[in-house]
Amino acid sequence: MKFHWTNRLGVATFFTVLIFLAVMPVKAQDGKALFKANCASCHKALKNSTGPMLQGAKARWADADEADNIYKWVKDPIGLVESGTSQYAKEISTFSPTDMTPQGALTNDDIDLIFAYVDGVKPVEKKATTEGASAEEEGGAAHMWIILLIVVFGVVIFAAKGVRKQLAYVVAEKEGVEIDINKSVKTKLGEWILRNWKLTLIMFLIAVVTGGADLMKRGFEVGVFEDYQPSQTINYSHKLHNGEMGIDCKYCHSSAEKSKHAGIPSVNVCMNCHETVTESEYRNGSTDEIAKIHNAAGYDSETKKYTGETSPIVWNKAHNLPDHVFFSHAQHVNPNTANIDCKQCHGNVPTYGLGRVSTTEEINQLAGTDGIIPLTKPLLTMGWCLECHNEKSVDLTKSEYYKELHNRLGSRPDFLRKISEDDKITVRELGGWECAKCHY
Amino acid sequence: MSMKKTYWKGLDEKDQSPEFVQNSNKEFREDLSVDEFIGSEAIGDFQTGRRDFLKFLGFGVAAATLASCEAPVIKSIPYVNKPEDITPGVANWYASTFYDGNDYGSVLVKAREGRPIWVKGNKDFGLTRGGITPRIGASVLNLYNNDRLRGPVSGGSSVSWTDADADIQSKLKAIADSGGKVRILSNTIISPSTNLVINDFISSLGGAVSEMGAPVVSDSVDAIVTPIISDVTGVDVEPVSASNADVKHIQYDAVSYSAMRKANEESFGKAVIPAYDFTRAKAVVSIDADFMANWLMHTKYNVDYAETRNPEAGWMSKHFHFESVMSLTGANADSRCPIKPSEQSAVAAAILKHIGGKDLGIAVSDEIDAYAAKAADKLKEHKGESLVVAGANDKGVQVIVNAINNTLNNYGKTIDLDNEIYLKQADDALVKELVNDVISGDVDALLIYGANPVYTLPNGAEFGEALANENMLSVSFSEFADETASKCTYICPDHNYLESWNDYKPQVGQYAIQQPVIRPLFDSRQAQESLLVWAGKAERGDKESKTYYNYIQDAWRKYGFPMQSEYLTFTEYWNWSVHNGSPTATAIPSTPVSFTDTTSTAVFSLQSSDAAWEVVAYQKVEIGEGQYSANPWLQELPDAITKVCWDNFVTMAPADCYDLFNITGNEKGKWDGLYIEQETPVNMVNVTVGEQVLKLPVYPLPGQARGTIGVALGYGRAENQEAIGSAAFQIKLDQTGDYDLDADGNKKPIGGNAYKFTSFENDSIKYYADAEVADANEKYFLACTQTHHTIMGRTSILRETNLESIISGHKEDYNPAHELHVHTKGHGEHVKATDVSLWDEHPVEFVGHRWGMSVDLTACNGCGVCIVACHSENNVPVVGKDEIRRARDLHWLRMDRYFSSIDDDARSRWEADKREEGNDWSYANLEVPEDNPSVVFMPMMCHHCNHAPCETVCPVAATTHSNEGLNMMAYNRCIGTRYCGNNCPYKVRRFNWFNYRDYRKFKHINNSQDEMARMVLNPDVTVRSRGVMEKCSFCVQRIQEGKLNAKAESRAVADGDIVTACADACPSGAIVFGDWNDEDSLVRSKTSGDRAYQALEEIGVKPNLWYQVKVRNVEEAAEVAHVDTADESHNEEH
Repeated sequence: MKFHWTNRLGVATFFTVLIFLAVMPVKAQDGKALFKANCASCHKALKNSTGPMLQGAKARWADADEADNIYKWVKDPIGLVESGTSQYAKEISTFSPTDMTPQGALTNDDIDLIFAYVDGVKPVEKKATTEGASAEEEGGAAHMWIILLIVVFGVVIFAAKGVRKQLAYVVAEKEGVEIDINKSVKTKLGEWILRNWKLTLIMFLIAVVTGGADLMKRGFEVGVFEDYQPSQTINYSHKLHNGEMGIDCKYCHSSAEKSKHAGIPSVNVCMNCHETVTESEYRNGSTDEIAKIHNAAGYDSETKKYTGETSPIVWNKAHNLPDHVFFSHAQHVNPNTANIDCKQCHGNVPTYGLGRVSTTEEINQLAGTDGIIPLTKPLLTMGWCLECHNEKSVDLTKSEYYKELHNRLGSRPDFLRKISEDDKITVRELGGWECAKCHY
Repeated sequence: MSMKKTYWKGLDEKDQSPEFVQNSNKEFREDLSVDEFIGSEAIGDFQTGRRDFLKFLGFGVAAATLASCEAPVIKSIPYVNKPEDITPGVANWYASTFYDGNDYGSVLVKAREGRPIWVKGNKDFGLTRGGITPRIGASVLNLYNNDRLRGPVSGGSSVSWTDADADIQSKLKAIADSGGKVRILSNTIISPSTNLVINDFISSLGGAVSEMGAPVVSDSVDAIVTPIISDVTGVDVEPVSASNADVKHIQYDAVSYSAMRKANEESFGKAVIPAYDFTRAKAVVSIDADFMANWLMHTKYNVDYAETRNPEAGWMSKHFHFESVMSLTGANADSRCPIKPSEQSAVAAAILKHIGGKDLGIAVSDEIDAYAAKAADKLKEHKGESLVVAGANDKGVQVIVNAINNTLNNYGKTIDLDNEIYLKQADDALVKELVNDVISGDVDALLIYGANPVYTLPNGAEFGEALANENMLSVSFSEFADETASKCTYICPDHNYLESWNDYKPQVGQYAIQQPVIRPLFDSRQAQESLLVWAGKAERGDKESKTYYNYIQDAWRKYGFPMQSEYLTFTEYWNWSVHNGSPTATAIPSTPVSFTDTTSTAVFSLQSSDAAWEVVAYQKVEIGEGQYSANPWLQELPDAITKVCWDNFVTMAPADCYDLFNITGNEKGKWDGLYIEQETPVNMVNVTVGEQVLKLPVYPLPGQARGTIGVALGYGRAENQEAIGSAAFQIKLDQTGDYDLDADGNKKPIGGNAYKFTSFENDSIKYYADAEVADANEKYFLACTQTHHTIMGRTSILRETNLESIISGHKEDYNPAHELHVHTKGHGEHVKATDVSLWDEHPVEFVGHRWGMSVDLTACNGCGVCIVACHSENNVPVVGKDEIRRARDLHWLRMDRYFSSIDDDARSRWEADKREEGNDWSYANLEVPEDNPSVVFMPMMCHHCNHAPCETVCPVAATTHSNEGLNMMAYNRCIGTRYCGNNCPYKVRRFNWFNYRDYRKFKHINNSQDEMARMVLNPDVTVRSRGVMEKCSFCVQRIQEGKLNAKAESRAVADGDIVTACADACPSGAIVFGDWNDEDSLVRSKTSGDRAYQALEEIGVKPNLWYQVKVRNVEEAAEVAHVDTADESHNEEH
C-alpha cells in the first residue's frame, strides 16, 4: 500500500506541478491583457505618463499603510478621495489635472494580476532594428560581389588561356608543325567562323531572337514600377498600424474620399496617437522612429509641450503617375462613386512595412474578397486601368447621379440595349476608355 | 431687300493685300520664319551635322532606355499641421475685393493648397455683380512678380523694419515739432478703415483732420445712423492737438475725374460723382466715356449695360457714342460718330440744343450735328430713362452734360446724386499745388501710397528730380522699386492685395471686405500697419500680424454692426461679411435736385482747335493706367480693338495715313505700312506735344476720327531700368530671348509714356493735346493677331439683325436655316444643311451628358476677360511678341473682331433707293468702309464638333470624340503632324512650338520659367511640352470635377454647376455653358431659341457651340446685315 500511497502522492504532486505550470503563465498572461485593456492608455509600467508609473505602486500604497485602499482606488478613485478615509489617495489625486477613470469592472483578483504583471516588467535594452534597411544598399553590396566574381573569373580565364597557348606551342614544336605566331586574333576568328559557319549562323539567329525578345520584354517594363518600395526618412510600418492595430487606411489617408490625392498624413495626424505613444514596443521599446515625428512636430516628449519649431517630414512617393495622368482617389473610393476597396490597387497593405507598389500577382491572390477583380496587366500602367474599366460594372440605380443618366438613356433604347447586352454596364461603356477622362 | 455686309478683320483683308491673299490659305506660315531663322546670327548655336545628329539620336535612345529603368525618386512633403479647411487637391474659394484706384470689383479667388491661382467676379454679392476687367482677372499673376520687394529698402539697399521705423518715426516727429510740412499722397482711398488710420496718423503728428476726402468720424449716435464714415468732404474740424504741424492727405488719380466733381458742385452744390444706373437707361449717349472698360465704376456699368442689351426682353437700350479713338464702348455702340477731342463741347452743346435746351452757340459740323440730332431724338423719346455721360476731365463739358441730364429729367432716376460713388476723389488743383510744393522744396516729408506720380504726372520727370532732394523725407509703400519708389528715401513695401485685409466703401451704403488668400510671401508690411506703427498706435507685428485686421474689426464693431439688424452677434455679422465679401448694402433715398445752370459761363479746356493733329491719351482695356505693364498675360492679351499685343502705337485714321505717307489711289494696296504682317513692318512717326516727343509705330485704325491720333497710357514704364517685372521691357525679335538694348546698353521700355502728353489746365489734368505728327522714316514690327486667320469670304460665320426684326420679324428673315442644293435621282432639291451628313451620328444625344455652349454676340462686348480667364485656368503659355508676329499665339480662346461695312454693290443700290425716296442720304457718305465701320466681337474657341474634321485626319488618334460631345486631345499621343489644325474650319487649334518653360527665348516673359510666377499654374491642367497640338477643352478638368462632386453627393449635375472658365468669368453673361442633354438647362433653352445659329453650319460638322445672332438697336436697313439665303445656297452647290 505504501507504494500506492506514495504513488498517489506522486500523482497528486505531478498534477499540482502541472496545474501550477499551466496556471502560472495563464495568470501572467491575464495580467498583461488586463493592463493593456484597462490601464495602458494612460499608464506605463516604467515611467510616468498621463497617469503615474505603475511599477511599485502597490508597494507605495503599502508604505503609506493603506495597502487595501489600492483596490478601492482603482475601482472608484473619486469616491475614495471624497470619503476622506485615505490620505495617500488625496496625495496622488493631484498627479494630473484629469481624474482617473474609475475601473469598477475589475475584481480584486484582476487588480492583483495587473500589478503582478506590472511589477514584473523589466526595462528592455534598446537596440536599433534592421527591418526595412534600404534596398539600394543591399543592391549595391550585391553588385560589388558580382564585380569581384567577374574580375576573379577574368583573371582565371586569362591565366588559363595563356597556359593553353603555351601548351599549344609545345605540342606544335613537338609535332613539328609550323605555327604562325603573327596571325592576328581577327584572322583566327575569321578562319574559325568559316570553318564553323553553320554553328555561327545558328548562334547568331539565337542571339537575335532572344535579344529581340528580351528587348521587347524590357520595353514593356519601361515605366512599370511594380514592387517599388522606396526608402523613407521614418521607418514606418503599415503592418503594425494597419495590420496589427487595425487603424483604417482613411484615418491617415483622410482625403482619399474627398480629393484626387489620398494624402500623406500630416504630422499632426501622427501626433494624435504619438503624443502618448512615445516608444515602440514593436521595435523593442525603441524611441528612435517616434522621436523623428516628435522632432518634426516640435514636440518635447519629456515636458509634453510643443516648442513651435517644426520641420516637415520628407517622404519618397511610392505610387507615381506621369504628370499627364489625372487620377482621382475620390472617384474610386468614395462610397457614392466606385466604392472600390483600397486593396484592389494597393494590395495587401497590412503586410507591408514601408509604402510600396504591389504587384498584379499579389493582388490577384486576393481576388474574390471585397469585390477585388483579378487583372493581368502590370500595376499602375494604362493597360491595367483600362482592363479594370472594362471589367468593372456600374450600378445605374445606385445614386441619384446615375439614376439621372439611366433616365436619359430611356430615350435612347438602342444605346441602352447595346451597352447592357452582357447584363452589365461597364465603366468603359459609359466612357471610361475615353482619353479626356484622365488626360487633360 | 437683299443687303449684304462685308466683314473684314483688318485693312489688309478689306483691300486684299498681296501678302494677305498669299497667306490666306495657309494655316501655318513657318516658311518665312524658317528663312529668317536660318539667316539669323544665332544659327551658330544650333549647328548640328547629320553625323552629329545620328550620334545624338543613338545616345539619346540609349540614355532614355537607361533612364527609364531607374525610377526617379519623387519627394512628397505633407503639412506639419494641416490647416483644417485645406484638403490637398481640392480648391478653396475666398470672397475678396480688388481695388487699385482704377478698377474696383468684388471677386472670388480660387486657391489651391494656399496658393491663389484664379480670380473671377463675385456674381452673388457685391456692388459690381461679377463685373471684372482683364486687369482684375490677371491680377493673380502680379502677386508672384519676382521683382516685388523682399523687405524695406533705403537708398537701394535692404534695411530692417526696426531701423526703418525708428528713423522714419523720429524724422517725422522732428518735422512735425518744427512745424514742417508732411504730406500723404495717395490714390483715392475708399477704405473707411484706411481713412481712420490716416486720420490717426495725421492727428498723432498734430495735424488737422480736415482734408477733402479724409473722413471725419463722429463717435456719437450719428455714426450709427449715417454710413460708417461720415461723408462730409472739405469740412473743417478742430485739430486734435494744438501743435502747429502741417500734415495733410492729398488724393491723386492718374486718370482724374476732378472736373466732374467740380461741375457737379457748380450745378448741384455737391462735389460728388453720382451713381449711374445703366439698367434703367433706354437711351445712352456717351461723349468719350469708355464706361465698359475704363470710365469710373466700369466693372458695374459693364454688367448693367449688358442687361439692357437683351433683345428677348422686348426692348434694348439705344446707344450713341461720340469719340476720337475707337474704344471698347464705342465699338459696341449702336451708332458711333468719330469726333475730335476739341469738338466734345460742341457735341454736348448740340445735343442740349436739340433736346430743347439752351443754344450755347458753339459751332459744329453738319455731319456731327446730324448725329447729335438723332441722339437727341432718342433722348427726348426716353426722358427720365436716358443717360448722357462724358469722359472729359473738363468742367465745361461736364456742366453741359449736367444741363442735358437735368433737362431730360434723369436725376433721381438714372442718376443718383445722393448715393454718390467714392471712386476718383482727387482734386487736381490740390495735386498741382502739392506737386509744385515738392518741386520748390517746400515739403519736408512725403508719404506716397498707391500712386506712381513720377510716371503718371504730366511733369513726372521734374517731380522725380525733386523727390531725390535729400532734405525731404520721402517714403513709398510701393510693392516695387518703381519710377517713384526708387527715388524715395525709404520704400516700405505694402502687401499685395491678395495678402491684405482691407475694407471698402465704393458707394454710399455699399461696403466690401478684402481678405487675404495667402500668407505674405515676402517681408512686406501692410501700409496701414506701417502708418499705425509710426503714429505710435501699434507695435510692429510679424508675418502673422493682426494689427490692421483687428483695427478693421474694431471699426466694424463700432460702426457697421450697430447699423444692421440681420445678425445678432458681431462674430456672426463679421464672419458673414467676410464670407460674402460684402455686408448687406443700404442705400439712402434720393432727394430732389436743384440745378443751377452755369452753361453760359462754362469754361472749356476743349474748344475748337486749329491744330492739324489732336492727340488723345486714352486707356486700353488691357493695360489701363499702366500699373500692371509687367504682367505678361495682359501684354499678350490682344488689344480689344486693334488686336495688337505687347506694344504701344499711334492710332490714326487710314485716310490720314494715306495723306501723311503720300499714298495715293491704287498705290495704297501696295503700301506696306498699312497692312500689318509678319514681314511687313509699319511706319513710325514722331509725335510732338510741347517739348515732349514720342516715336511710335502707326496703327491705321478704322473708325479713328480724322485729324486725331490716339496714344495709349500705361506704356513706357521703367524708362530708367526700374525693376518692376521681367516682362516690362522689349525683347529682341530673335531666338535669344534677350532684352533689346539701346545704344547705352539699357533695356528699352515697351512703347512710350503718353502721360507726358497730359497737362494741368484750368486746374484739372487734360488728357488731350494739340500735336505735331511727322514721318520718322523708320519701320517697326507690330505683333498683331488679327492677321492670323481669315474667314475666306464665308458669310455664314456672323449673323446680325436689328431689334425690330427680333420683335416683329420671323426667324426665317434674320436667322434662316442653311439649305444645300443636292441632287437625288437626277433632280436637284434643297435640303437643310443639317440633314445631310457624310458620317454616322455620334451617340451624344441623351446619352449621359452633352456639353454645349452658347455665345450671345449681342451681350458680348469683346472685353477679353474670358481670354485671361482661359489663359490662367488652362496654363496657356505666354509666347511673346516675336512668336505672335509669327502667328504662333497660343490663346485657346480668341476674340475675333470684325469691322463691317455694306459692300459696294449694296451700298450703291441703297443710295439710289434713298435718293429716289427723296430722303437725306448724306449719312450714307459716312459709309466709307474704314472711316466708321461697325464692329462685331466674336469669341472663337474649339466648337467640339460632333463630326469633327480634325479627328478624322489624325494619324495617331490623338484627338478623339467623347460620348459627352467633347473633342478630346491626348497630348502624349500627339506627334505634331498638324493635320488637325489644317483641317479645322474654325482655326482654333494651336501648335505648341517650343518648350516654353525651358527654352531661353521665353526666359523673361513666360511665367513658368520663373520660380515665383510658376506658382500660378493650375495643377489640374497639364503644362504641355513642345510638338503637340492644343486647343480649348471646354475646361474638361472642371467638367470632371463637377461630375465627381455630383456623384459624391449622390445627386444629378445641377445646371450651372459646371461652367467653363470663360463662362465663369464673363461679366455680361454672354457665354453660357451646360449640359445640353439636361432639358431644363439654360444652354438648352438658349440653343433652341430663334437667335441660335451655328457658325459654318453648312459644312456639317455639327458643333456643340451655338452663337446667338448679334442684334443692334438700329432702324436703318443699311446698318443691318441680312443673310442672303439664295446666294448662299448656290455657293455650296454640288
